Amino acid sequence: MFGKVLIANRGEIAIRVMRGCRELGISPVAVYSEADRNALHVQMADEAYLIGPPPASESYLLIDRIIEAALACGAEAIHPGYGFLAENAQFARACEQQGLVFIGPPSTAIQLMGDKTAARRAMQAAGVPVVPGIDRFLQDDDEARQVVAAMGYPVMIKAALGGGGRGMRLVHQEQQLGEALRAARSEARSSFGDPAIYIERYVTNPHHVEIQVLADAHGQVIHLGERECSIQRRHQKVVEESPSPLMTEDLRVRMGEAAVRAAQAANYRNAGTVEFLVDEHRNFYFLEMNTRLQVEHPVTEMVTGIDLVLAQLRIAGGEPLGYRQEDIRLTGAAIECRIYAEDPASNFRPSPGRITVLQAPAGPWVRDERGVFAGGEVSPFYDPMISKLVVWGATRQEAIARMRRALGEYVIGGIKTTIPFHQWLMEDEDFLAGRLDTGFIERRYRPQAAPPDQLAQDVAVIAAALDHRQSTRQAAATPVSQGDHDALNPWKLAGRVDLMRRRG
Amino acid sequence: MRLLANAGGVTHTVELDEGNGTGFVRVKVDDREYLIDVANPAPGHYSLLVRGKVFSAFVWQRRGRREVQVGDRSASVEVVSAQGPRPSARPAAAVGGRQEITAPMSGRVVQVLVQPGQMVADGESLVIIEAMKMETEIRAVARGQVKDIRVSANLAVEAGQLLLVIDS
Repeated sequence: MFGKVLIANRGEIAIRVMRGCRELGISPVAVYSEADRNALHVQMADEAYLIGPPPASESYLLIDRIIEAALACGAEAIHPGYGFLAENAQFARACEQQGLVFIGPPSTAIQLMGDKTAARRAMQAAGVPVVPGIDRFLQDDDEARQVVAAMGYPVMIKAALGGGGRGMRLVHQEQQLGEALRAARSEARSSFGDPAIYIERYVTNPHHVEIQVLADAHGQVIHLGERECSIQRRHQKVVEESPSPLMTEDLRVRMGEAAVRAAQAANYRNAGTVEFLVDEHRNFYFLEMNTRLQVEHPVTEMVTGIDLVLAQLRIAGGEPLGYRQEDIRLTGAAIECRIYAEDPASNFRPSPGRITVLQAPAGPWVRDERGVFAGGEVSPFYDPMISKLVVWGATRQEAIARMRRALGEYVIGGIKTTIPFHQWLMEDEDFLAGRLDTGFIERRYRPQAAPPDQLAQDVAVIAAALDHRQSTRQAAATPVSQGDHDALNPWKLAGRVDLMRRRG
Repeated sequence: MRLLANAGGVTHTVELDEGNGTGFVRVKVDDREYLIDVANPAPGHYSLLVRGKVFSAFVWQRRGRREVQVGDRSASVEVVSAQGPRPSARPAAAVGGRQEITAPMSGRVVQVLVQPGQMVADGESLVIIEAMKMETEIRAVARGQVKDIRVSANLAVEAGQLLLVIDS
C-alpha cells in the first residue's frame, strides 16, 4: 500500500479521502489555493502545499502545479476526488507519465467516457441502450436548429465535456434555443474549458438511476447496486438514496449487467458510476459514465457495507477486490441530503459567507461529512456543497424518519442552506410514496413559511431581543479609552498589541 | 429594557425585565407576558424554558438584522432600543419609482446585459453574476429606464453592492 497520497481537491471530499487514507495508514497530503489557507482540509492533512490564487483555473485545475507538489513531497499516488481534475484524461496521463499512481481509471477510459458522443457510440456497440440524440459535437446555431427540428422538442443541450449539471439546458420551444445555446456554451467554457455541446432528446419525467461499479486490475468487474438520484435542481443532484423505490430485483440484475458491460467496454478500472435514465415503463437508457468517486457514494457504502474510498485505494495499489458479485447484498435503505450554501426560498440562489453558528447532527446511523466549521468562510469561488448528510435505516420509512430527526438537529447560521428544503421534502407525500422524477422539485417545491404559531414567533423575537441586550452589555463592558497608567502595565500592553495584530 | 423588534414586516414592543439573578426573565411581547428561564450556553445560543417547554434558539447578525433559528423555524428580526429611531421596514425593492438593483450574493459580474437609457420590462435580465460556479441572472422587478450602471464585466462584487439604478 502507498505511504503517502496527495489529494488534489478541497472541501468535504478531500476530507473524506483523507479519512480513508488514515484508516489504511497512508499519510494524506493537501493542496490549497490562497482562499483556502484556513480550510478544514488543510487543517486535517499531514502536509499541505499552496498551489495558486483563489480561482480554480489558477490553482485546483493546474495540472503542472499539482504534479510538481506531489513529486516534491514524495507522494506515490494522487486522489483527484470529484470535480476539478477528477475526469481530466490529460491529468491522469500526466500522473502516469510521471510515475504517480492516479487513483481512478486509466486515462484512456476517462477520455472515452469524457467525450460524451464517443461514449454513446461505444455503449451502442457494447449493446447498452442510449438516449436518442446526435453522436457528434455541434458547430453552430444553424446546425443545432436543423438537428433539433428533425428530433422534435423537448431537447436537452449538454456540454460535450460535461458533468455536474453544468452546461446543460432543457429547451421546450424553438424561441428558447438561441439563449439556451449561448448559456450552455458559456457555462461549458467556464466549467470545462471547452464550449463544445451536443443535443439529446429529452426523456420526459425520467428517474435518474445510477449503478456503482468496481473494477480491479485483475479483470474482475462487479456492481454494487443502484442509487436513485432523481431529486435535482439545475440538473444537479440534491438527494440520493439506495435502493431506488422503483427498483425490482429483475431490473437491478439487467441494469447491473449493462453497467458491467459498459465498464468492460471502456477497459475500466477502479470505482465508477454508470448513469441511466429510467422511464415510466422501466426502460433504461445509458446517460453517461462518471469515471470517478461520486458525491453520493456513501448511500452505497451504507447499504453494502463496502467503503468505496478504501476500495479505490486498494485497487489503485494493485490489490484484487476480494469479493465477487454474489457476495454483494443491499441491506436496508440509505438517504443522502446534500447541504448546499444556497437559499431554497430564492430559487436555490448561492449564499456564500461566514458560518457563524454550526450545530451538527449525530446519533445512530447518522453520518455528516462536512467541509466547513463554525467561524469559517464559505467561498464564492467554489462549489456550494458544504456537507452531505447521510442516514441508514432498516427500511426506507425508517431512514426518512431518521433523516427528519437529523435535519432537525442541524443548525447552520450566517448563510442560507438547503436544510429547509430537505425538511419539506422529507414530509412530501410524493417523496414518501417514492413517486420521483427529475422534474420533481420544479413541479412540487413551493417554499412556504411555517404555519403561524404565536408562541414560536414570540420566542424568536425574544431570542433576538436577548441577543441585542447581550451585545449592548458587551459593548458597555469593553473600555473605549484607557488612562495613561494602563500604558505602563506590560501585560495589558502586550495584550493590546496582540489584539491589534489579530485585528490587522 | 424596552426594545422594538421588527419581524416579518410587523414591529413588536419587547420589554425585558431581569429577575434577581435566578435566570428567570419576565418578558412582554406586545400584550403577551412570559416568565422565561433563560440560559446562554454558548455565544449566540439561547436556551429558553417557557412553562417547561424547551426552545433552543440560535441567533446571528446579518446585514444589520438578527437571524434567529428556533427548531425548524427561522426569522429575521431587527431590534432597536425603544428610545432610538423606529426600525426600518424591510428595504423595498422600488422606492419612489426608483429601483436600486443590488447583488444578492458576492461573486463576479459575467455580463451587463443593458445600457444606460435603455427601457427594460418587468422581469428582464439586467446583469449576470457568477458565484459558486453558477450563473445567476439579476432581473428588473418593475419596468423602467436604466439610469446608472455601477459595474462592468469581470468585476468582483460583494453581497448588497449596488449594481445599477432603474427609474420606473
